[in-house]
Amino acid sequence: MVWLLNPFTFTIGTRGNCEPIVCAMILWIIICLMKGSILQAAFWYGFVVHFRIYPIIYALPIVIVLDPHFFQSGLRPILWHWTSAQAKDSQIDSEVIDRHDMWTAFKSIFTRERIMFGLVSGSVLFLWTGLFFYLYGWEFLHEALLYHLTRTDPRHNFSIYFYHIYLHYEHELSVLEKLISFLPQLIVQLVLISSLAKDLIFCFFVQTVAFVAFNKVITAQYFVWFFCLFPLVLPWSTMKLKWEGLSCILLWMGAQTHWLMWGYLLEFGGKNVFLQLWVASLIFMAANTFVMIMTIQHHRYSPLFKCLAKSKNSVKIE
Amino acid sequence: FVAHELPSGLCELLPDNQNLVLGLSVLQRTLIGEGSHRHLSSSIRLQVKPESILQLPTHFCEVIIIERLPSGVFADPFELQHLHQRRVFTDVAVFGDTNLELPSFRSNRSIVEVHMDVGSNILSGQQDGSEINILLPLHARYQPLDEGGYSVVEIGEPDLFMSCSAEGKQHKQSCLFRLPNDDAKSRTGAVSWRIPSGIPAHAGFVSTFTYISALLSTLLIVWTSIFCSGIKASKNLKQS
Repeated sequence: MVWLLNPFTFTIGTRGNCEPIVCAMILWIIICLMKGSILQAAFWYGFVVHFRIYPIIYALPIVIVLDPHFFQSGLRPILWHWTSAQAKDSQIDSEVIDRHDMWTAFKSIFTRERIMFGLVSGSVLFLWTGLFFYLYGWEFLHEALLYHLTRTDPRHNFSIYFYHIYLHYEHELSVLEKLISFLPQLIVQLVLISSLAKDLIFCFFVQTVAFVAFNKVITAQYFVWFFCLFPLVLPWSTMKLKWEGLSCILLWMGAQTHWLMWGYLLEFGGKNVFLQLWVASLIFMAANTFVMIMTIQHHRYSPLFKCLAKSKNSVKIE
Repeated sequence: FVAHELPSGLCELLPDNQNLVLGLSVLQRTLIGEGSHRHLSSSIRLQVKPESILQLPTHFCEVIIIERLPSGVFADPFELQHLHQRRVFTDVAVFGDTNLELPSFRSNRSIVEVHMDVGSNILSGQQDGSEINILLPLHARYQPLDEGGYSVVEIGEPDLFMSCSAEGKQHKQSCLFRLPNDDAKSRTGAVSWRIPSGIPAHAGFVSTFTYISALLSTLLIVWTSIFCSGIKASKNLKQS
């Protein structure tokens, strides 16, 4: 219901964007990983990155979760079977897993599963890119990949950076300036991955929200990227709809509506409201940050897989 | 593509000086709407002078309007193509810079050519003239920075042509006229479009607060992820 009846998803999904297809592929990759079909997950992952570049941010958490304690050749990974009563125990157990992983991370980085996932997804990505390069030449490569590396869109969008880019567009931004604007994105992604990777779906969700919030260009279609993961993280939230949940929803939507008002006055009213629009972007960024903090604070940390060594009492989910 | 050499079969039937036959005036040129997406409306009056009623075979004419757009505005080729498919225009073409994202100081001028049907047998004197209204959808690019907060983009007079074709016995015959509108130029003048532009005085504090805001958000998320997430909570739980 959160996905289907969301006005964003059906408006964006029916206006010609392929985002719902990308979302479906991401969800399928999660299902494949949960079933232990690493090869299939790798194939779809390579394909989805060819389709849209943004899922590249999921590469590191997937590699981390392909831990030899969860994935072993010939064995199906064991999922945590969750009930609210088990929450307390599993949280403590998850700590053990994490402490254990600090050591194994150094010891066994290059496992069979990780190498296989990397090789298959990389090959699929290169094959598709190669095929389309063969069909359409440099134009494809530029439009699909290279353009995103150099893109600095000065036109108004939800990003806090848009007015800064516009004001400095006449002279090229220095490498230092580009680095400074990229650093927050990089730091947030690395920290979220390092602290939440085992809770794969929640990690994907907050990573996507943060990636969109810190991006240099934000348009409404990007919101669909994390809307599809929202229903999957909702059951693990301890946040009450009244009033914490409601305040998050209202704040996020309010900040966006406020931005849209100034955007309308600029784009359709011809008024010079660049400054107000930029302030609205800052407010929207603050709203995004608030929602992210609230979500992380009220999330029940729930690793997706159980350690194979401790699988005696676990419930195997078919 | 008006430069195509058209067969002159129909032209042979016309008097040497077509200007005597055809009168043209741009009655009005206005920008309709507000903001960055507007329509350039051009009302064109096409008149066949009564003293030169011709006896011509059945023919169809179209007016060709060529707009030279400054770098500050652009016409979307896909949008025009869509209008062409819906038969609003009989043909469209955009030449020059069609990159929709570039601001005006990075883009070049573009030329838009639009063909519009004016009906049949207009040269036969059966109609004493007709008025055509062409609505050309235009979009504003981002303007160079300006202390005043607005830039003015001026769109000059268009070039007008008329192309007529007649179904001959053996093949289709066409003729192209250039219709001078010197009188009209002095009357309508250029159309001005006032577009908001960034204010250079904002540059300093906008950059500063943008980076402070990004840094603050980063620190808050990092702090929450490390110290306030479920993992930390579970550790505290265990210790107690």
